[in-house]
Amino acid sequence: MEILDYNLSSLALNIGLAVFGMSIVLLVITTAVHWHKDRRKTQIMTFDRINEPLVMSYLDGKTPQIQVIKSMENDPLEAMQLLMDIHKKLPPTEQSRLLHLFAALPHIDKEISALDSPFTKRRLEAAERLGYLRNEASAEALLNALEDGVLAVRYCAARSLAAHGNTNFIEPTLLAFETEPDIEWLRLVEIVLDYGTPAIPKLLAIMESPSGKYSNNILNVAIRALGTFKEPRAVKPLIRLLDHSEFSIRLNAARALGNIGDPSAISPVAELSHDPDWSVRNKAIQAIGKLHAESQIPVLIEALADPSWQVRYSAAQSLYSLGQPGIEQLNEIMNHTQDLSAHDMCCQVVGEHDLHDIKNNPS
Amino acid sequence: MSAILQIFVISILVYFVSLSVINLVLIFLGAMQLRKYNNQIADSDLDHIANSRLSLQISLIIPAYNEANIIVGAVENALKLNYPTYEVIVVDDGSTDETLTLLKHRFNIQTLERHKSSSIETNEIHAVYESPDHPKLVVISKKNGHRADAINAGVALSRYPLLCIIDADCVIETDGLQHMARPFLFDPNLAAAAGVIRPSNGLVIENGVIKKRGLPKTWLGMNQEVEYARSFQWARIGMNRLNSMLCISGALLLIKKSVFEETGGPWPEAITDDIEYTIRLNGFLFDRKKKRNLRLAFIPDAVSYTEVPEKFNCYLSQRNRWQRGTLQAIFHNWKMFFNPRYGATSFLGLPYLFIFEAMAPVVEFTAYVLAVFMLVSGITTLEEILKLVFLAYATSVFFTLIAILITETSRLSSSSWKDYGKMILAVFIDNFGWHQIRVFTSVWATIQFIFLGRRDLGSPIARTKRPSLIQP
Repeated sequence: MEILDYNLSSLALNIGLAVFGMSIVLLVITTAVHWHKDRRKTQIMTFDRINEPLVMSYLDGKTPQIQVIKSMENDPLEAMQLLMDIHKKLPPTEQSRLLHLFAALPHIDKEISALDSPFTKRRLEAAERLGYLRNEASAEALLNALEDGVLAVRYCAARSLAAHGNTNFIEPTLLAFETEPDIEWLRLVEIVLDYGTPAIPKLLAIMESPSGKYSNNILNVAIRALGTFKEPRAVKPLIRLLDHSEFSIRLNAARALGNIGDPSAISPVAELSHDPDWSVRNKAIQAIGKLHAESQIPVLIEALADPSWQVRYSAAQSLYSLGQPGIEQLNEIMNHTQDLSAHDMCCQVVGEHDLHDIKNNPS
Repeated sequence: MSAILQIFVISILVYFVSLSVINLVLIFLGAMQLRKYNNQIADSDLDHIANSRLSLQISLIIPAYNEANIIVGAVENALKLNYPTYEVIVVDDGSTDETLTLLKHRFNIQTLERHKSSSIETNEIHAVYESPDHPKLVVISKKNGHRADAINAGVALSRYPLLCIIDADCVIETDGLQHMARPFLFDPNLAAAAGVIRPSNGLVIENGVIKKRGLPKTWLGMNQEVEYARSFQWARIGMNRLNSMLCISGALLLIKKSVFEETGGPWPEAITDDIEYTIRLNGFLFDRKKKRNLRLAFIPDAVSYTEVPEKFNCYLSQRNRWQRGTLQAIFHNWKMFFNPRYGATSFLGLPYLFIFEAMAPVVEFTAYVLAVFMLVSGITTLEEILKLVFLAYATSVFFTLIAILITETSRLSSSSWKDYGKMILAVFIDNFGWHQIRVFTSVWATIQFIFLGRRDLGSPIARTKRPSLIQP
């Protein structure tokens, strides 16, 4: 006797056999994948063991380029990967010699046409590799790749263009991401920073352009990068931007002015200590500390009573960074204030610095 | 009688077929997501993150209760991570062993006045310590609460905008934070991310750094290795595609501090706070009324290795707790069930979690009881039972092998042929005993939860002593 219809239980058996058969096929595929990976790993290890010393010897001027290229020609993909890995480890002064090797690789030109591949991964790899092939054809292909349908490819192309170092690429790069909601604008700052200080004139031009020409995101990128470069020519336009209606512009302008350290920014920055947005107040208070603005000690003391924990913390840190006059004020507040949160914050910051001073000055 | 039994058997078959079809759909969705993820990650991304001063700063929070055997190794591992700016906050949750003393001796921590930066309520904090030798390290000593309370205390004293929460028995690869942070750096709307969890039992760790991956030595450990692979390689990523990933392991969660604070953090009374918190987090992120437009990500190449129990009683205790915790988390958030306000989470995620995860052991147990009863009563034949058992076995092996195939194509592939062989063997023998033990334990836990009102955390897992390898 059977609880299920005979046909149903037979069907269950047949399905079970079919699924088990598929499992065996899967097992064969999985084993093949494992075998392939294992073999590839061994091949790469052998390739690197032979060719890495050759490349290093080429960089020392002991082995001719043609010999290195000939040795690597049997595995062009791994050759590119090896050169990219070595490039990361080298100091910037030695990196340019390695680029000659890239340019001499037999299949490197294929990377340009690969930017039109239907496969996303292939386009991404090509965009990455072309950062090391610094010629006009490569740059042009990368500029076209800024319009790729996939954000990751566009971003990779932008980084590779930055590696090329031609500052004329800055504006098209920023414009390519202007309306992209799915990328943090800080990633664009990283790209601009990759260009180094030659980017400064372009960034100043963006910041001083008529209102509305560039989006707030692009303006923020320029402000943040100029602050990181500590560019004194940016001080005046940055001070003008402290009144901007967009809070992120005010915040980044205050941060940049603090980084640059020009004393003419002290008073305008201090005015932001009453900004309605706590994050702007926080950056202004931090900037006062970086500007070593002893004249603003009353502003910092007032900020110790700010409703935001972060602003209070920054105020105490800024007071400490002013040296003796600020530390005296912190001690005074710790001993006499009625404001419990200001008292706690001063104790915390003084304690943190005392602890880390033990490391620097054990006596 | 026979007709009623027939209805039961057919219902169980329908349940089984539905589960298999859903799993196939999840595999398809998971494979699509994995392909998209792998296609869009460039080798240089991680280098850029490691070297950028603009990478988001992270507070790594490690709650610890009576973890003297492993705490020093865990902190050494955390301090070795390759990430530009992060702090490691260890929260000693009122341990009664030498957890705090060991930290004091090994890391030269000293008391410091530090005050909460957030309004999250926690049990009393006794002291905060920092180390002049390890500026990234903060240790908090507090009155015992549950793991959730310790996490909340760590968050309250954290400084950075991203929080990474791991367990004290977890080990992360040195580039783990880069993998975890990468999606946050690109996507402004990403609120939280989960990673892959794998057993740490076979790892070789030197100076706090993973030198070699391996497999657990016992078959109980191997059984869990297979189970973790099945659970993390496609099911979660597929569920995430449907806004329904309702179980983010406490062993690896990265979340924006602002989101954590708005949700109020994990519930200290939860049996498994991670499951309960994930359900609530999904409700917060996908609340249609609030239109937050936030996202949750599953990161298939971010891995946290956690110690799995290799002693039988610890294993049973852990499984019992997980089952009760899942039920508690579901019932605690019952208002989300089929509530249009929470979209797919309420129509797909929660019902799936309840019907196909929490209730699966009960259905399977019922099937075993029915099979024995019908066999003894002569209502069915052994041949018929064996046909159905074979179907279930073949399906289970098939789905597990897919997980192994995905694993082999990832960076988590077996490190040797010997390990690969062991893993495959474990796939085929998992259903001969281990699986049934899991089922019986879960059924007992369900009875304890529903009928006996058991809500305690069970006995803690005995940790294998992990020696410190950095000389002070």
